[in-house]
Amino acid sequence: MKTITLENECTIYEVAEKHQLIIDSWSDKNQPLTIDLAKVTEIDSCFIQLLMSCKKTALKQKTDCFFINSSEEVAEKFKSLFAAELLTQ
Amino acid sequence: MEELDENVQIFISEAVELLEEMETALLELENSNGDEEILGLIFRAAHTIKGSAGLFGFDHIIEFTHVVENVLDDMRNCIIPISSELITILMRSKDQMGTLIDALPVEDDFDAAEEKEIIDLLKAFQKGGIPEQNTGSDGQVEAASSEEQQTKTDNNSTNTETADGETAQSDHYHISIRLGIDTFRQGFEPIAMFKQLADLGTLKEIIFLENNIPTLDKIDSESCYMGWEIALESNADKEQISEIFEFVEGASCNILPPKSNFSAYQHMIEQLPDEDELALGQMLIKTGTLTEQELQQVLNQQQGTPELVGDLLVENKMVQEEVVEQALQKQKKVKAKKQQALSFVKVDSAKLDKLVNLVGELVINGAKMGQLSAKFNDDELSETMEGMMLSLDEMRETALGLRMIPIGATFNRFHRVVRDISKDLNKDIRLEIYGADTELDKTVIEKIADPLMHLVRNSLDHGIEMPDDRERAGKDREGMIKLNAHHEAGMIVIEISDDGKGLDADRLLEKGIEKGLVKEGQKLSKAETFNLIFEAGFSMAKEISNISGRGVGMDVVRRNIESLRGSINIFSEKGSGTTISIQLPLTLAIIDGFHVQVNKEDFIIPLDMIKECVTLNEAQIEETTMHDYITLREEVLPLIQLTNYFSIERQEKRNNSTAVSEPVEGIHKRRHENVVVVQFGSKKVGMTVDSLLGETQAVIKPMGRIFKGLNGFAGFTILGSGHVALVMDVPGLVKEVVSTEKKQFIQPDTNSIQMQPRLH
Repeated sequence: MKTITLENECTIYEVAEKHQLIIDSWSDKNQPLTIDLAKVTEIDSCFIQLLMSCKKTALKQKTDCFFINSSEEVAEKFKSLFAAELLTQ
Repeated sequence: MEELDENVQIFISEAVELLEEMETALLELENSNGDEEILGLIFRAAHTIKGSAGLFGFDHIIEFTHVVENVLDDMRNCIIPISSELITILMRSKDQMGTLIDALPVEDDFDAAEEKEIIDLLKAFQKGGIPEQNTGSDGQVEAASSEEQQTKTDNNSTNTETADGETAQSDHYHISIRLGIDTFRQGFEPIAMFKQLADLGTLKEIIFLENNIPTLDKIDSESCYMGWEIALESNADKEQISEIFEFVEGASCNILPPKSNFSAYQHMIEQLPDEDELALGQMLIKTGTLTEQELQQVLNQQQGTPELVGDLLVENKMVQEEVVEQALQKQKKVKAKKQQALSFVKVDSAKLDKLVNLVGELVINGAKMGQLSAKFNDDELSETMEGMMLSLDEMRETALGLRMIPIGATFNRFHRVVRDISKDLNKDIRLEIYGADTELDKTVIEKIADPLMHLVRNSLDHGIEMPDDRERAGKDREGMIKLNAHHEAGMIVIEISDDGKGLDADRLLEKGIEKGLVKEGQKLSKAETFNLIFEAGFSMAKEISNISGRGVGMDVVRRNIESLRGSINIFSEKGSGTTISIQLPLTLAIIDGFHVQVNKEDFIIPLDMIKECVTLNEAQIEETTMHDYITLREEVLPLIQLTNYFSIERQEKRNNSTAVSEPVEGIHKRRHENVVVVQFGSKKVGMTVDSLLGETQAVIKPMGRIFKGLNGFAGFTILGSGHVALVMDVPGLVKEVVSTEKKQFIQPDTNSIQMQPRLH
C-alpha cells in the first residue's frame, strides 16, 4: 500500500503541486492509496475537492483510497462543506 | 445626430420584430401549457427591449417593460401560474410596448389610462402568485421558530393552493446550486456561503454533490466542480436568499419557495446540467422537498398522463426515460434556433430593389446580346452566350428569390386576431394554418395583409356560428378557420375557409335586388350570386358589429387584390362553410414571357398563362371569319382577334348585327394562322397572332400615367432588339371576353357586343 503524507498548508496555492505528487506516487493503479492528513494545518474547499477526486479515481480503478489521521482542521472543513461522510467512508 | 437616428431606427425595427416574436410565443404558450422554452423566449424578448431601450435612455419604455419583465420572470420560476387571463394582460402589455415604441422618439404619446390599468393588473397577478411576500417579512434575518413557521405556512396554504393548483407539501425552500468553474480561482470560499445561509434560517438538509468532480487524470485542480442540494427552512423571502448567491460568479442557482407548484420542480429538473439529471429526482426526495409520491406526480405532469405509483424499479426507469427525452428535446430546440439565427442577414430593402432592377437591365441586355450573337453565327460566341444566358437566368431567379418571403409570418399574426375576436364574440374558434412556407414577393405579402385581415374577421364574425347554434346544427362546438397557401401554375393561391354557416344564396340575391345590383327575374349562377358580396355597399350582416358588417370592405378587398393582378373567388355551401380563394402572381417585377407579333407590333404574353399554341388549318381559319370562336378538340374556344381588338393598322368595318368582325378579305389568311391559347382560372381563351417569336424574359415596367385607364395591358417591356413591347394582361382580357359572352347571352339582340378598340 502506498501512503502519502500531506503536511502544513493544503490550499489552492499548493493544489496543483500536490495533484502532480499524488499522480506520480500512485503509479500502480491496482494498489490502494492512503493519504495521511495528520499534519495538515490548513485546508480549503479547493484542496478538499482534490481529495474527493482521489476517492473517485480509486472507485473507478476498483481499488481504494483512505484518508487517515485527519486533523481537526480537515474534519471541520469537510463538515462545513456538508461532505463529512466522504472523509470517513 | 443623424447617426443617432439611424441607431434608433435599428432599435425600433428590432423591437418590433421582438414584439412580434413575443406575441407568437404568448399564443403558443397558451396552447403549450407553459412550455419552458417559449416562456424563456418571451422573457428574453422583453428583456432585450428593456436593455436596448436603456442604451437610448427611453426611460418610459424601460419602466413599463420592467414591470412586464418581472411578471415574466415570476412565470419562469413558476411563482405565477399561467392562465388565459394573464396571457391576455401580457398581450395588452405587448401592445402597449408596441405603442410606446411606435411613438418614438417622442416618449409621452401614449394612453396613460390603459398603461396604468395594465400595470395594476400585472401587479395584481404578481401579488396573487407569491403569498409569502404578502405576509411581508421585514428583512430581518432571524430564523423563525418552527412553530411560527408552521402557522405561517398554514395561513398561506389555502391561498397557495387556489393560486397554483397542485403544490408540494414541503415547508422549506429548496435551493439547488452548482458553483461556477472559476469559483476557487476568484478566491471564493463556499463555506462562507453556508454561514450566510444559516443566518437566514435552519439548514435542514444539505446534500453534497460529488458526481461532477472528475478523476485525478481529468481534474483541473484549481477549477471548481462542487454543487449542493439544500433544504432551507426560513422566513426570509426569495430575494434575500438569492442575494447570497449573487456574488458567486458563474454559479447556477435555483431557489424554490416552500410549497411551490409542481411545475416549478419540473422546471428545475429541466434546467439542470446534464450530469445531474438522473439523480435529481432522488435528491429532491432525500432533502425532503418532495415525497416520493409528489415526485412521481411532478414527473407525470411532464408527460401529461397521470399514472399510479409503480414499484421503485419501474419508477426509477421512468425517471430516466423522461429526463433523457426532455433533455434531447431541449437540445434540438436550441440547435434549431441557433441555426436559424445564423442563417439570416439583414439587408436594406432598397438595396434589394436596386439589385433586382439591375438584374432586370442585365436580362434585357443579355437578350440583346443573344440576338446579336445569333446574327454572327459564330459557334464559340453562341456557346459562350448560351452559358452566360444560363447563369443570367439563374441569377434572375435568385435575385427575385431574395424578395420572396414565406407567408407564414403573415398567417401567424392571425392567431392573435382569432383568439381575441373569438373571445369578444364568445365563440370558440381554432385557427389552422397550412402552407406557411409558401413564398411570395414581399411587396405582395405587404399588400395582401389587410385584405386577409378583413376576410378572416368576416369569417369570425359572420361565418362561424355561436357554439350553441353549432351544436344544434350537429357540428363541433369549436369552429375552425383555415388559412392555406400553395403554388399553382405560376400563381400563389391563398384560401380562407371556415366551417361556419355558409352563405345564403337566396338572401344574397334578395339583397342584390334590393340594392339594385340585380334586376328582378335575372338569373344568376351560384358563383355570380356569391360574388355579389364583393359589390360596393353590400352587407349581409343584420346588425353592424364592431368587427365587421358595415358593408365597406369586400369591394375594397377585391380592388386591392385586383391591383396586384390577382383574382378572388368565393365558394360556399349553406350550412357547412365558406371558402374564399385568392389567386396572386408570385412577383410583380420580371416574368417569363412569350413574344408574339401582330402586324409587326410586339406583344408579350406571360408564359405561365399560356396553355398551348395552335396553328390553324384551313377549315378553322374559315371558322374564324364567321365568329369569334373556334372548335378546338371538340371544345368551343372563344377567340380574341388581336388585330381587331387593338385596332392595329387600320379601322375595320364591322358587321354589327352578327357581332362578328370581318377583316379585309385576303389578309386574314396570313394573319390568323396562329392561336395562342391562354388560361386564367378555369377559362380558356385563344388569341390570334401573326407570328410566334419564342420565349423571352420581360422586365415589366409600369405604364406611364396617361395610360392608366388602359385595359388589357399589365405594363410594357423593352425587348432585346430595343423595341418596346406591351405586356398583355391576360386575366383582364379573359374576364372581358367572359363578360362579353354573358352580355351576349343575356341580351342577345343588342348591338353592344362588338369589341371596342382600346388603343385609340
